[in-house]
Amino acid sequence: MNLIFRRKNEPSRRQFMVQTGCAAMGITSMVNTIAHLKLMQGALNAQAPPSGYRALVCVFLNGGNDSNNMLLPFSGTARTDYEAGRGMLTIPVNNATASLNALQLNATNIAECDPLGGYLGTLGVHPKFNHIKTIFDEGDAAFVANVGTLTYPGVTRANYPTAPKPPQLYSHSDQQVQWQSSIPDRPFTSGWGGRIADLLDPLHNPSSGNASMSISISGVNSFQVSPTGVVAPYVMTSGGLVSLAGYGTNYTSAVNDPNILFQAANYKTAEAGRRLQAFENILNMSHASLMENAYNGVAMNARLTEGMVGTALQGTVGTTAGTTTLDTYFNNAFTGTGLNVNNDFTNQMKLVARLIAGRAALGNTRQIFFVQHGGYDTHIAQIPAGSNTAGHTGLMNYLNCTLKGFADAIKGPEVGNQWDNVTSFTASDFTRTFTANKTDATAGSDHAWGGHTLIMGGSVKGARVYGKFPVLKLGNSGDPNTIDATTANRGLWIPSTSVDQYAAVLARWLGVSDSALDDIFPNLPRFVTIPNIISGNMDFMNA
Amino acid sequence: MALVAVLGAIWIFFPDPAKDAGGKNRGDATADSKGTQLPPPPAPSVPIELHGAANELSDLVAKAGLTPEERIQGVGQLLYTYRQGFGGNPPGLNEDVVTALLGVNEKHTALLPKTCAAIRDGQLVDDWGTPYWFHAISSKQMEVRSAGPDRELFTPDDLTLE
Repeated sequence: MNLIFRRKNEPSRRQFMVQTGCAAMGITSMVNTIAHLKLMQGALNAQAPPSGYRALVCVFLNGGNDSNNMLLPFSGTARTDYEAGRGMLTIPVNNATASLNALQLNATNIAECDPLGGYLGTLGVHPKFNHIKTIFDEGDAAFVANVGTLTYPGVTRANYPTAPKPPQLYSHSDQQVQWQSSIPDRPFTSGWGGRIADLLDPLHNPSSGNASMSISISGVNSFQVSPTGVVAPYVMTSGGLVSLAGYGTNYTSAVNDPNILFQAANYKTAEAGRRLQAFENILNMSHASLMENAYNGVAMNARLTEGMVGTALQGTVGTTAGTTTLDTYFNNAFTGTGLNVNNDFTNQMKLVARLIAGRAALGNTRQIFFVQHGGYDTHIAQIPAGSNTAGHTGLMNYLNCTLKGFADAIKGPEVGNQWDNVTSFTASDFTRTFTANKTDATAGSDHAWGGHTLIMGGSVKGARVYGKFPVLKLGNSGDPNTIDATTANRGLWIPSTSVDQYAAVLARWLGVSDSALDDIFPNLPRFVTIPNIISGNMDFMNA
Repeated sequence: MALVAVLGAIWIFFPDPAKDAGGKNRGDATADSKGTQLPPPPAPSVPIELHGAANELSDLVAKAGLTPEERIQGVGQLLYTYRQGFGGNPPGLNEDVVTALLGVNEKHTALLPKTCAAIRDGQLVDDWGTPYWFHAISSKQMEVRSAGPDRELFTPDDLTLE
């Protein structure tokens, strides 16, 4: 019964109650009640019984990865179009210097991702993707072609000026947020990783003493923002825990054992130890004010998580200070490349591997990690001659070796071979213009829209390319399948698969039930009919 | 407690209007109704109106006698004016930015006349006839680059504005 007619964009009664409740009373029992109702609903929706351990690792390629050169045509008509359009950014297939050539993939389902039928011959990957090619050919990695932010399906070159589109296309920060929220047509309130965590945490991580389900090794991000605040992400750096300031590295000035919390005998008698003891005593107090208790809870949760994460990491420390047994896998993957294995991105992935190895200490059966690899805004010198470390060449090299090291670590006995239970996936602001922005060796590419993503793990239905590959024809070629968006004729592909579709498949693998998918991805029904979310050649995960 | 009880009763006994409408709260990840929203109909063809300050804005980027630095500052002023009216920068590459400035935007308002001398082949050009390079950092922040006298982007003689 609707007693009031709402104008468009007016909040519903529910939204009004939540918003005004929060605004008027802060963190009160009312809001807690609503939050718990949501959690209860989430637990009911996530009807799949808890089973085993599963983790998602979001590898965000910051700056806009030129995926036109990550996954590319190796032969066929598409190859002809590729060479005609890419100019200075063309990756060869038959150069006299073999190390410059693309690597052919043994993809088993080319016809399914072919946009025209017979357009794609074979596909290849970047010359530096030797490990990824092997993992792909072994059936443990796949690509999803031409994914991007969309508000509605049906955007074409013809209707591009008037069709509903995500706001601020081609802008770094806006597109990063939209990729990580999956709701581009609404103001940002939460990330899809955060919404998954809110839904799954009560059922899969019911223990009161566990760590946060969402752990970021790369600072605060939009992806893991929780709509209710119930699953607050725990943020670390590639250097490890971010300890409270003033107590020495990992609290060595204040406690005898940094992994023991709130134990009087553990505090050192020095000033720092007394100060930490006083601080933690305050954390343990109860307050009459709910606001004070909530504020206290944030610090307490961070401190508790820190302790659990410290314990998880402690279990993977090697005999040599500052090293772990898992590092060997990464070192081996980097051998002979000339790359520095101790770079920030690789160190982030090392930490994720260590946390998965020490998962028992975290107490969770479902975990979402966020890492970030920067430097992808390659407007200039994208393919620097003779360099394996600079430009997009270097980025692909680092990504390839890091993912290889991570894969081997996850398969190793130190982690208990969790390969089938850990899925890594890439995301990026956008891909880049198909055409180069210059005609000499300093050429780069500019901001574009839909691009290719990589998924890796033992549960991936690999050796396949999913979604629909773009037709690489520029401008208003008369080809109805041309998806070059604008009049600029630079090759800005209109995505054929939405972020919602891509993310929903990953969410379902992690444990989100079909009935809850459009709670996590409210725009998903615009693109697929739930539960048939694998339509459009998107069946890339085993159950 | 009484307030909670009253609000709880409202919550339980009065359904969500969005549910009555047979749709979901768009973008509300906690909405409990299921359904598909159809895309809005295409915007009707509306004539483009020239903004009252369009000629003045055109002078900022096209008037004879301006220095290259003044001209690129004029581009910044043009983008600032666009942001004031539309809430964010015009999206896209040079041609798309010009298209938006010429009125292909949600308000059907042109901030530049089609006859603006700084527009050549659908692109906004600098003192040397080279299209400006636009780099969208965020909805509010745009880097603008002129290739400078050598007409070559990303060389030391470039002029930049953010």
